Amino acid sequence: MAFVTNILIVEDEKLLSNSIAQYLQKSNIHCTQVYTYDTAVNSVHDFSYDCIVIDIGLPDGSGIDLIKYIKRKKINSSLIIISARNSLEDKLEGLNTGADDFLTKPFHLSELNARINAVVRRKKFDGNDTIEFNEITINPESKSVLINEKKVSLTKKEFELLVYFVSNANKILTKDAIAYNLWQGNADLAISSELIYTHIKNLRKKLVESGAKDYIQAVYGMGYKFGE
Amino acid sequence: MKLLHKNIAVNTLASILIIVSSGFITYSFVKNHFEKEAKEHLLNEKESIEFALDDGVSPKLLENNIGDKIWIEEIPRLSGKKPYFKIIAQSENEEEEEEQEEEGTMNAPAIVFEYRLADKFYKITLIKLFDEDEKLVKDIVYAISISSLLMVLILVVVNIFIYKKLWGPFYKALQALKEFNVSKQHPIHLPAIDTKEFDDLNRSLTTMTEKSVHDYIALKEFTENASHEIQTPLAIISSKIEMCLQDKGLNAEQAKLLMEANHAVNTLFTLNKALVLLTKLENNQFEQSSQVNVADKIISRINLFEDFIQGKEIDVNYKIDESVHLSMDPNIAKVLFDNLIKNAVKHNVQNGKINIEVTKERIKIANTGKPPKDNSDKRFERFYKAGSEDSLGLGLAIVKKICEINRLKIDYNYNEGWHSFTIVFSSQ
Repeated sequence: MAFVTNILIVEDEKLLSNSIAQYLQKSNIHCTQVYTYDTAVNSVHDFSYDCIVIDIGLPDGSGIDLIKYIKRKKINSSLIIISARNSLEDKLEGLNTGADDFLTKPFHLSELNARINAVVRRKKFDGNDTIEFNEITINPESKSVLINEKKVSLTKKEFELLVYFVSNANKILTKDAIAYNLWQGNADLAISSELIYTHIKNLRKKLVESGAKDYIQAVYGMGYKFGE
Repeated sequence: MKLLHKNIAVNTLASILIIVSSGFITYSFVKNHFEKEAKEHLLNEKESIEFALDDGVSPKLLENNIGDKIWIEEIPRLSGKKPYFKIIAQSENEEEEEEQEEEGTMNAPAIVFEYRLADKFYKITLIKLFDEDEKLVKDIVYAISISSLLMVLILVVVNIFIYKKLWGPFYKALQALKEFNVSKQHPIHLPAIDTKEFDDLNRSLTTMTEKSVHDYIALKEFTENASHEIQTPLAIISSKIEMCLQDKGLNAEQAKLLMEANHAVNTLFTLNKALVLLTKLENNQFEQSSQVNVADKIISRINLFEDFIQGKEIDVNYKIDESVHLSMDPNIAKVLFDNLIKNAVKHNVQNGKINIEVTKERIKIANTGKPPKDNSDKRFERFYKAGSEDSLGLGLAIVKKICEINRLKIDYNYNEGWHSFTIVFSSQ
């Protein structure tokens, strides 16, 4: 990606926060880590982040209150909640307060990466942006894909898969992570079936037939990788 | 039978028994006493008759002059019998009977003795005429009967009173216990009572319900905390594994180990989620209910499974009454249909079928599949695994629990290649 994304990670579990930062930094995202509500409040004034990843359960306050504070101060960052609590009320409250997305722990880092990319893109380009990967151009708004300026017709799932791959380019994506990205709650059904394999096979075929390089590689025993 | 009715029945039976036996005893005592008196009276009369006869009073005159009835019969000679008492039997002749009644000689005690006056022999029967004594006995019998009836009546009234007044606190406690719902978190508190046993009962109820509410809250907090506290380390493990997998120096053997660990972490996460949901269901933490349109819910859930339905080329048939509504928590309805549809898709065969039928009486979701390997009831138990290794065996346990708390009945049956789950609406 041409620009560097700056994000703030508000998560009191240092081990988890480190993993997130490490993973995202490899995707050209610059991460700042804070571990408490108070330091988060200071940080949001110091710098204009593209996205803030917020844990709901902080030792000295609630992530929900932090979101309310950010909204009150009219700070224009995208907000993603990560919560250990799976309850629907938390999710609804979070999204109603103004968060852009909600992820339940544990999540795949590749999933968080894809979600961050999506919300930042939406905000930064007001929906008129494109994701580019060499000869592939993806328009998330119109859900269209161009290869060497030529339109490729993909199914809904193939499109989602491609966006997910490109967001996590050059990373190994496990079958579990891919299944979660495409089917969330029904991921287990996908893992036990040939569905992921079928979708990937079809996407790969369409891309190659349209003149793209064969970017999708199966990594033996682990999953798939999109990259050169 | 109510306690009151039992009490009245036992009391009435016992008092009738006591009254009848005491009445009988009183009657025989009184009767005995009067008989004795009658005998004494007759003996006295006998003496005075003998005295009068000795004095030369003619027997004919005696018959008219004495208060009692006297029959004098001339006999040829003395039989030598000693004087004896008898009861004048009731005559079988109706006319005589009437006469007897008029005279008062019916069933009357009598003494029979023989007497010799000069050279004549007489058999004299002296009868004590029906009098006040006999009436008294009758009156006593009446009195006893009436007072017995009154006694039974009063007993019933007293029982009802005792029931209402004395047992009142007991029924209050019973009602409170019936209405007690641990998820509402209101322990039973009843006013102090001067009956020791009931006061003890109320105190015990308060202690017991306070304890269960306390335990309920503790359990609720525990499940929430456990879910939260387990998920954070799981998230850390999962993220660390993902980081490891990105390492270019990883060899195939190491990658395999990491993937297996990763899979176990994911299983643990799903397990945690399902168990937390089951616990929440068991604790009745989903109290809000609204009218859920079954058709809408099922169609929207089916759409989520489109990929998998197409993947197995399953043919889905609907026969849905769109007006059917269920009164339950909408999110729980979602979980219910999700699990049932997921089950029907997961255990289906390539080119299989799913039939969904919704009527005013029931919801039936049937799918084609391999014959079940064992007992049909077991599949609703926790951790029952029907062949597939990937499943946790909690989906149908959740379905069953949801049906239970919403007073729905769910049945499973297998018939000629079809597995069907039927939810029957009980009359709500």
